[in-house]
Amino acid sequence: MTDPSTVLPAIYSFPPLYTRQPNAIIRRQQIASWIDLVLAYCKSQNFWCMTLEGVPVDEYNKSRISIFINSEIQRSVPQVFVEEIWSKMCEEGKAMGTETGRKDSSQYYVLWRTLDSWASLVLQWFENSGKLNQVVTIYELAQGDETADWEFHGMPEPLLAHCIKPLCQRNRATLIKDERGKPVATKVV
Amino acid sequence: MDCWHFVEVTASGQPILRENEKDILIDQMVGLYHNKSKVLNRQKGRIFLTSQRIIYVDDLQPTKNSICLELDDIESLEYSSKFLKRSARLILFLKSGQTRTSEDTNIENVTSSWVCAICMMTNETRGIFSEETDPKPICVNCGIPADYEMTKNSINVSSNFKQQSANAKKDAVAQENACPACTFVNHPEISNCEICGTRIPNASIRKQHCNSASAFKDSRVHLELEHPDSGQSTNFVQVSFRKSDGLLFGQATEKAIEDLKKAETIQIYNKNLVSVNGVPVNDNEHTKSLPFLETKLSKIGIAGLEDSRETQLLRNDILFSSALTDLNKLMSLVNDIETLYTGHKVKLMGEQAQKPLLIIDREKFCNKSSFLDEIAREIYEFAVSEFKDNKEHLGYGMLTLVDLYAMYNKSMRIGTGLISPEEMRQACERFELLNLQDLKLIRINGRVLCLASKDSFAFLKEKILELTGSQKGCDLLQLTQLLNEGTSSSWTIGILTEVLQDTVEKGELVIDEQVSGIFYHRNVYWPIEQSVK
Repeated sequence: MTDPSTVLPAIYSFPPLYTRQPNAIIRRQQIASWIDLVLAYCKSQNFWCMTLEGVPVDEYNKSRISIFINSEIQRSVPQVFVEEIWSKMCEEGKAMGTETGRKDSSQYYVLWRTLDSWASLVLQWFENSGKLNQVVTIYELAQGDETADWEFHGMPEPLLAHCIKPLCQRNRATLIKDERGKPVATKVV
Repeated sequence: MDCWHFVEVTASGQPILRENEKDILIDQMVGLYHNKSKVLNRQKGRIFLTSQRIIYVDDLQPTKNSICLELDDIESLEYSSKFLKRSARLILFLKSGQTRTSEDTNIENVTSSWVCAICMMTNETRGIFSEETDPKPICVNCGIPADYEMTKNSINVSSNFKQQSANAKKDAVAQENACPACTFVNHPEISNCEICGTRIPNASIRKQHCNSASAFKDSRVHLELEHPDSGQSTNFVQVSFRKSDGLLFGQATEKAIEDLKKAETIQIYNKNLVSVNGVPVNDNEHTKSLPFLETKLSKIGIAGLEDSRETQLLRNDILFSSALTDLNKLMSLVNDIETLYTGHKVKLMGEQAQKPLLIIDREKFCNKSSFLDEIAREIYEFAVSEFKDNKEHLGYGMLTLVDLYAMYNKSMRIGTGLISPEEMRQACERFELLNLQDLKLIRINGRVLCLASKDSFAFLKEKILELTGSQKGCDLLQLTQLLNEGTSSSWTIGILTEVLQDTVEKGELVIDEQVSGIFYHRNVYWPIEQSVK
C-alpha cells in the first residue's frame, strides 16, 4: 500500500487544491494540476485504471486509498469536483471510461500517454521483435515475457485493444475477435 | 480691529465651540466688512451664530482665516435688506473701546470692601458703597444683597490710586501687593494671599491693570482691509449675505444678544422660584418670547407670499425645537437628580469632560443642499476621529458605508433626527466638493461602498497577502485578529471580507473550504495569466 502523498510533489499537500476555486482562471490551472497528479501517480505506480472515486484498481484487489483523499492534511476533494476533473481528463484524451458509452463511467483508464502514442509504441515493438505479419494474442502482448521491458506491459487487455485501434485505422493492423466480439488477437503488417 | 479673535476650526471646517456654548444658526455665503471696507480674504464663508459668539468660517482656508466676534462686544445691530445689487447686510455696532475704558477708570479708582452680615465674607465692590447705592451689591458667597445699615461698619473705601498718575499707579500696584493680614508681598495677579489665604483688597482692579498693560495681541489674526485708511471713528462691522436675505440670522443674533444681556443682569438668588405662597413670581421668565420672526415682509406679490410662508414654517420649526429643548431640559434635570440620588458622581464627571458638539439640526437649513454640506463635514469629522487610531499606527483607514451609517446615526444623530442612507451617501459624495481630501468614497468589487483614506485598499491587500503568506493559510477570524493586534478593531470584518473577495477574484489568494470556514492561502502554484483576454 503506497500513500499517494509520499510519491507526489509538494502541491499535493497544498490545502486549497482540494477546494474548487471560485476564480475560473485559477480553477483551470487547478484542474490541470490534478490531471498532472493523477497521471504522475498512475505512471509511477503502474496503475492503469481508477474508480470514479480515485481508488486505483488492480488485479489483486488490495484496499487502496483514493488519490483525492489526503489523510495527512485531512482534506478531500468533493465528489462533484472529482467528476469535473474526470470529464476534463476525458475531454483531453488523458482518461477513458471503461464502458464503451463514455459518459458516467464508474471506472476510468488513465492514459499517461495518448492512445496514438501507445499505438506507435506497440507498432515499434512489433517492428523491433520481428512479429510483423504474425498473429499475436492480446494476452501475449499484455502479459507475455517478450513485452516485459516495455511500458505497455501489464496494460489491461480491453485498453490494449483500444490502443491498437488507431493502427487498424491506418490499415497497419487487424483485430481478430472471438465469437462474442471480444478482440483476442491482432496481426500487424 | 481688536474685536476680531482667532477661532479654532477643525480640518473639516467646523468651529470648535467652548464649554457651554451652543450653536444657534448657520448661514452660507457671507462676506465680512469692517466699518465700510471689505475685509480681504474673508469674503466667502459660512457664519455661525452661537450663544456666545458670531463665528466666520472661511470656505477657502477654514483653519487659517476663520475669525469670531464676541456677542459681548456688540452694542446693537441693524438690518438692511437687499437693494438692487447691494446684498442684504447685518450691521453690528460694537461697544466703543474708548468710552468703556474711560468709564472704567472712573469707577475703578474707587473700591469699597465690605463684610457680609450673614456669612462674614469680605466682598469688594466698585464705586463707593453708600446708602444710595442701587442696586445693592450682592455677596459673592451667599448671594444676598447687602444691607447698608448692617454693613456700614465694615465698609472700607480705598481710593488711594486716584491721585497717582497712571504709570506710577501700575508700578505701585505691582510692588505693593502685600497681604493685609500677614504682610506677605504676593504676585500682583494673585487675589488671595499665598500664605494665609486672606482675600487681598483691590485684586480685581490690579488684574485689569495687568491685563491692559500687556495688551495681548493674537498673532494668528491677520486682517487686511480693502481701504485701510477709512475712518476709525465709527466702530461697526457688517456681515453681507450673498445668497440668503439674512433676515433670520439678524433676528436670531438680536435675540441672542438680548438673552446674553438678560443673563448678565439676572439675579442669582431665588432664580428658579416660580411662586411664593401661591403667588407667581418671576413672571417674565415664563413669558420669555420665542425667537420671533416677522411675517410682514417688505415684499409683495407671490414672492412675498412665498417668503411669508417660508418664515411661517421656520417659526413653527423653531417653536417645535424650543419645545423639545424644554423637554430635554426637564429630562436632563431628571437625570441629574437620579445621578445625585445614586451617587454615581464619577459618571457625571466623565460626561462633562466631553467637548461640546455642534448640533446640526435639519430645521436650521433652508435647503437640502446646505444641510447635506454640513452633514458631510460632520461625517468627515466623525470618520476621521474613528480612523484616528489607525492613522497613528499605519496611516490608513477604511470603513464600509453601512458600518459608518450605523455608527454615525447612533452616536451623533440621536435626538437631532436621524439621516437616511441616501443622505449619507450624497453627503459622502460631496467630500471632494467641500475640499475634504483625506477620505474618499470608493466602491469595492463593484457593489460595496467604502469610505477610505488614500491607498488604504492597496495597503490592506498587501498586508493580507503578507499575512497569508507567512501564516500558511488564514481564516477570516485569524486575519481580523492579526490585523487588529494592538488596536481596537480598526479593520472591520466587513472590509476584510471585501478585500479577500477581491484578491480571490484577482487570483492572488486561493481558498480552502472547510467545515470550520474558509481558509485563505497565497496562490503559489497557479500563476495568474496576465493576458487573459
